[in-house]
Amino acid sequence: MEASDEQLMLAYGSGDAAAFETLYGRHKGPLYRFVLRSVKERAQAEEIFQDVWMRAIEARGRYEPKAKFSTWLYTIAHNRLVDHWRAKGLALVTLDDEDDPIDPPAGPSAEPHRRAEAREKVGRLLEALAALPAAQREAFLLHEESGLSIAEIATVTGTGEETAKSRLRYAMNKLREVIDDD
Amino acid sequence: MIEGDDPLSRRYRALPHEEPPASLDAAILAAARRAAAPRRSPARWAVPVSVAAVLALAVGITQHALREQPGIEVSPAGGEYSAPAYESAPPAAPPASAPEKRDTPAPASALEKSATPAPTSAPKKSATPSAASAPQPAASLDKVVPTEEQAAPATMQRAQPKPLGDSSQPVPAPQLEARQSARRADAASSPPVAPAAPASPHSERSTERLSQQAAPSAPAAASAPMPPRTKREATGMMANTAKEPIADPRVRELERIAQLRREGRHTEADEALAKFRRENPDYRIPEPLWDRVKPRS
Repeated sequence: MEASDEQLMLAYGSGDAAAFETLYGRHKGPLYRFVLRSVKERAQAEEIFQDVWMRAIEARGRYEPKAKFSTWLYTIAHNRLVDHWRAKGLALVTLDDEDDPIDPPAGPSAEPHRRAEAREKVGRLLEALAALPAAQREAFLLHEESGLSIAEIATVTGTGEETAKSRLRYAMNKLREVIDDD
Repeated sequence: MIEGDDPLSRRYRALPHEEPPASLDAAILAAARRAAAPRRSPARWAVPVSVAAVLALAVGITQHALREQPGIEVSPAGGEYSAPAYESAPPAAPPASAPEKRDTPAPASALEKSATPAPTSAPKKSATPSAASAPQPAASLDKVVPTEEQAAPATMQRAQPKPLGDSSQPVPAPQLEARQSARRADAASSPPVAPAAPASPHSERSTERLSQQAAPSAPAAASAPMPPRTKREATGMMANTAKEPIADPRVRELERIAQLRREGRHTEADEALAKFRRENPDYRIPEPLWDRVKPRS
């Protein structure tokens, strides 16, 4: 039977490096996409992505499976993103601001190799995702990429369940408008 | 909620499945392996080896000294270590001989008068020969407060070897410590205790009690379990740092970083903040506190 994420992380905390490799393999893709679609540039995304894993590695001795491993991992990622936004002089309260979407990802419009995608339906979804307020985009990505529930999203983002639910609902409504237009 | 067959979910899953570059994978996995690798603890074998080396050296030097000066254990005539001085210098009291000597109350009173209790009739300016003083420092110093004048010669003689079989006397250092501890005891109005003997658990506890009493500002609650606090309560306490200790060690650390910022020690603050983030990656720094600890651009 496959070991759970929590068991693997505990094993890694005890010195089993192979356990970490398995854990990394399971979560690297979703986490990478979560970060990539949350920030403006790929280089920044890679730096944040690596930072998140480094923090998880350093915290291995203090890890306690009080919640799902993915909740813990994405809490680290969220905090790291908050640091990123704060470094840009952005306060958390503005992350919900729809009028001034904070630090939208570059998306297809910024990087040449992605401009072709912009002409496709898939590209329009990426653009729409990029145009969401950061808090709503984050809620959507946490749900879709990492499969977190509303309660877990609330835990990761440090908000209440109602706030997490409303952010997710707003995000979905806006994205559905885009795909419905296709 | 997005269900698996929701059109939005299907459309999203159709997006490119970007993965991190192989170089990034390699770097992270290498870091993980390094972190998990068992640390070499040179201290494990280094300590016994160094102890053995010291012992071997000591034995060798002793043997060499004995070979060179076979009569060293006998009082040499006209030597640097003259007999009178040698005989009059029993500063070190081997604990092993202690029980044999602490059988009379007289030594205690004798010690009150003399800080250099000479077991023999060796001429000492302040010595009142104490025949059988209690060699156990902790017990004998319970009520002894040697004067400074008396303690000084004892201190000076400390370096001289104690003759074997000599009646033991209190060690000068414990005497000084006893005086200090007695002062503390007076100040704290606690029963006299002799913290001079490290081997005495009772004195250790007493020392600890004295130190606790001597620090009235030290919150007793610091050692007692604090009731659970919400994060808001924890951060709300920041406004009252001068009045009340902060229970959460993370908030305490952030307050320390904020203090560094106030003092303009930004380099230290940056390093401390980075270290805090590494050690507490899943801790959410509240906005008000973040404003006080954030890096200054």
